[in-house]
Amino acid sequence: MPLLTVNNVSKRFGGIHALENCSFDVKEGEFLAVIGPNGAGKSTLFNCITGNYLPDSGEILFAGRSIVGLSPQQIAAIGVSRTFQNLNLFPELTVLQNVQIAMAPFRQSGFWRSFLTGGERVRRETEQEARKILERLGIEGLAEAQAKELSFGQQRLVELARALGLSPRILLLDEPASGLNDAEREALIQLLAELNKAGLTILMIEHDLASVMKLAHRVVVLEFGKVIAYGSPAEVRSNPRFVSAYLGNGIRVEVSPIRRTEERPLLKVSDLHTRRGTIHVLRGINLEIHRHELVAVIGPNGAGKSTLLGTLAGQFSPFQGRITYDGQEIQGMPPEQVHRLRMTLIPERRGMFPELTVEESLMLGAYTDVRFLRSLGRPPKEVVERCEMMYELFPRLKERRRQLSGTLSGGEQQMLAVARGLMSRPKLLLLDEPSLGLAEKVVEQLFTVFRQLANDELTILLVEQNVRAALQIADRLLFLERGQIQLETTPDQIDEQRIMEIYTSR
Amino acid sequence: MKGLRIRKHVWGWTALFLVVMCLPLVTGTLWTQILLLVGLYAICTLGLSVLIGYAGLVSLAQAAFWGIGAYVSAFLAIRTGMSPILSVLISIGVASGVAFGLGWMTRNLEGHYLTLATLGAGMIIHIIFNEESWLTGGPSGMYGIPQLSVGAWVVDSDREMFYLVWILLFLLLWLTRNLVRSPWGQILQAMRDSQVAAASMGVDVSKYKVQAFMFSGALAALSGSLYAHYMTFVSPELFGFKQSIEFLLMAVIGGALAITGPIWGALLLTGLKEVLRIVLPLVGITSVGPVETLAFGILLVAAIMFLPGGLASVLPRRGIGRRRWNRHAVIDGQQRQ
Repeated sequence: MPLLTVNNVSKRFGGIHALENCSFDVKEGEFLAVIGPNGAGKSTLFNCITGNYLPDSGEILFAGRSIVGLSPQQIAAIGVSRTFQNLNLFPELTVLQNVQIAMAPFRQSGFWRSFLTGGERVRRETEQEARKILERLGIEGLAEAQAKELSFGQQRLVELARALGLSPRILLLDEPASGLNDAEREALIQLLAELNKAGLTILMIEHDLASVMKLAHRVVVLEFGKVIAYGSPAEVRSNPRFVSAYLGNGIRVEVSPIRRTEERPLLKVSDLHTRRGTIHVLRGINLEIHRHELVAVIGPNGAGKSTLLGTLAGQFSPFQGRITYDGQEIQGMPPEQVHRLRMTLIPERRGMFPELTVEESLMLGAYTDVRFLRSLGRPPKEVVERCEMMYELFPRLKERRRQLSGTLSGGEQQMLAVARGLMSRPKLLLLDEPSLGLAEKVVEQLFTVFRQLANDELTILLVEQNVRAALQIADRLLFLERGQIQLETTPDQIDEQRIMEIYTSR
Repeated sequence: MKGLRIRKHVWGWTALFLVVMCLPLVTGTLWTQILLLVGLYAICTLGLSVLIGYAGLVSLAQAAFWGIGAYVSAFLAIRTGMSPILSVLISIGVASGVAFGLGWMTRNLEGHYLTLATLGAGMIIHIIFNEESWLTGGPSGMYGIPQLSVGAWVVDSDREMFYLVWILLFLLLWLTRNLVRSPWGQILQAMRDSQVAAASMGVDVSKYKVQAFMFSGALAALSGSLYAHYMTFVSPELFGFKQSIEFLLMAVIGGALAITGPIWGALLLTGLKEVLRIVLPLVGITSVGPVETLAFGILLVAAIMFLPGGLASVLPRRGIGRRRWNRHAVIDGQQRQ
């Protein structure tokens, strides 16, 4: 009998199927990995298992008993332990205390005993056990440190230690290796393999396919909330649906690129380093983008793609390195100032103003070009003209001009986001995963427009997980991994097989 | 090393205790009375400090619980002729019960929402004090509350009451110190930092929230009932929104994570009030209230900006002040995810 059975589980948020009839099982002592592109529903799946979300339908059995409808603490108490994708430690407590919280006797020592005696005995008993766990993970030296003082890698280990403190029968790990450097990642893989060998059942979400292929006995591939492949790593790897889940579906773009040779770069980045919180995300980026070029940045989740765009647009301040844009150094400049230099970022997940209509959103895009007093009366003529241009580019938006942007479909919202960005007449357009969650047909339309824009002398830097689509329109490809550009190539010099190899082996 | 540390903090506590015990011998009656009130406020604030600093729950109903303690004990002592000791204990029970109800109803609220809910609860309770005359005496309050007595010993002098209150306070400080360092206190802090993570580690989050509310309500009621038996008179305006704000100020200015914080907070606020009451008429200002509110407001802003650890954080670290503090927990009670 499997330890954990997930049977036909579905979960909807609004109109979106985050999970649709998911089924798989985890056997006692098994190491099962869940993989899939961004937004595939992996974390939702975990949250359904641990009771943070209530599935709309379906069944989840743990050790033969249904756990749907139990509270997170009840599910934890019967031996289901987890870590979080974004670290979720108790920052003010020490490492030791973090681990102790998870231990049953500690949790069960009640109010009165604590009030009258300070719970000294329970504390001493659990302390020994907690130290043993820390020792096993090689962080016993940090026991007395406050969790918030530790490095990111150490915090990941503390979170693992805390999860082990629960004495779990199954351990759920949500991207345990993301944000770790190479050495830390290797050590973690080693550690997880040992824990599993010692008999611990592990269910792991991971983006790093190389780690997955090394560790997992079986792999579940999710896409748009559905299980599209399920089996041993070797089986899954040769499954064409797995390949397309990772590289995206092919699209056809009828507009062919016009190549121009212009040597003066519009954007030059040298040795760029950025931290986000305690994570060192960008570790020395060097790149050049020429005028009228369409460059695609590809790479796995957590590689630093969005951070790169954010740093260019001024949202994050780099602590080292230079960004030269249009002959001017812009590192550390606030985002509104960068925007006025005609560099526009279309953020991931579109950043809609849901209560504004399509036309109002568009006009807001020209905000920096209109003086305050002129913005008070009727919209200035050139703004109206630019709106008309946008409607020409995206006829769908014209039909919906009076509609609230929050009520648009995903594809229409993405069109609006792009059009809104173009309203400020940028020289450089930064696009962050424009294809995310969109159907093939829509991606095709959007990417055709991107190519047209580049042909019409706009410079575009595109971050994309849908590699196949990016290959269709890009002049150049940059492969970003762990905060560095690992490979620079053109679409005709590389094929899918080679990209898949880079993804799965390292 | 460890032995030395323990000895150091025992010294600190002993010194503080002795100083306090000597105070009535060297001060006049007025200051004995004022310091006695400081002690009572500190008991009430202690409960609130645990709620704010450790559980991250900012409550604006503390004065209402203070009032429940005062009214219930006064009512029982007057109407049934019950021994005040018994009525004090019953009032603590009643306040804990109400706190249980409030905690249970608000168990799914966080941050500002929770604070607003407690504000509403405090107002409802205050309205009951004001309107239900058969029970509370209405706006004119309750007179002739018997003084505290244990057997034949009647606590009828300020000095006796002073010692009763302060010895009780020190006992409670010691026990609360146990409490916040115990597994219970650590779990409370864990919940404050991340409720989701705590639940995922098997912690029954609502249970701990409710318990924290009950602890806070019980201390408020203890303080309130002692206050009623000392003053022998209570009226609704003592237990309104303004008083809740004052308790909040005492907790924050004293330092909500420091065990002795409530003492310093209560001392500063009560002292400031007395000083204003004496000084303002001398400079020709007759309405003390608005100036008081203004001064407290400035004090709060200054404390948050310049002294986020509260007064206790600038005291010598002899184990009686703790420097640890979570700004977010106190300012907005939000848990950070």
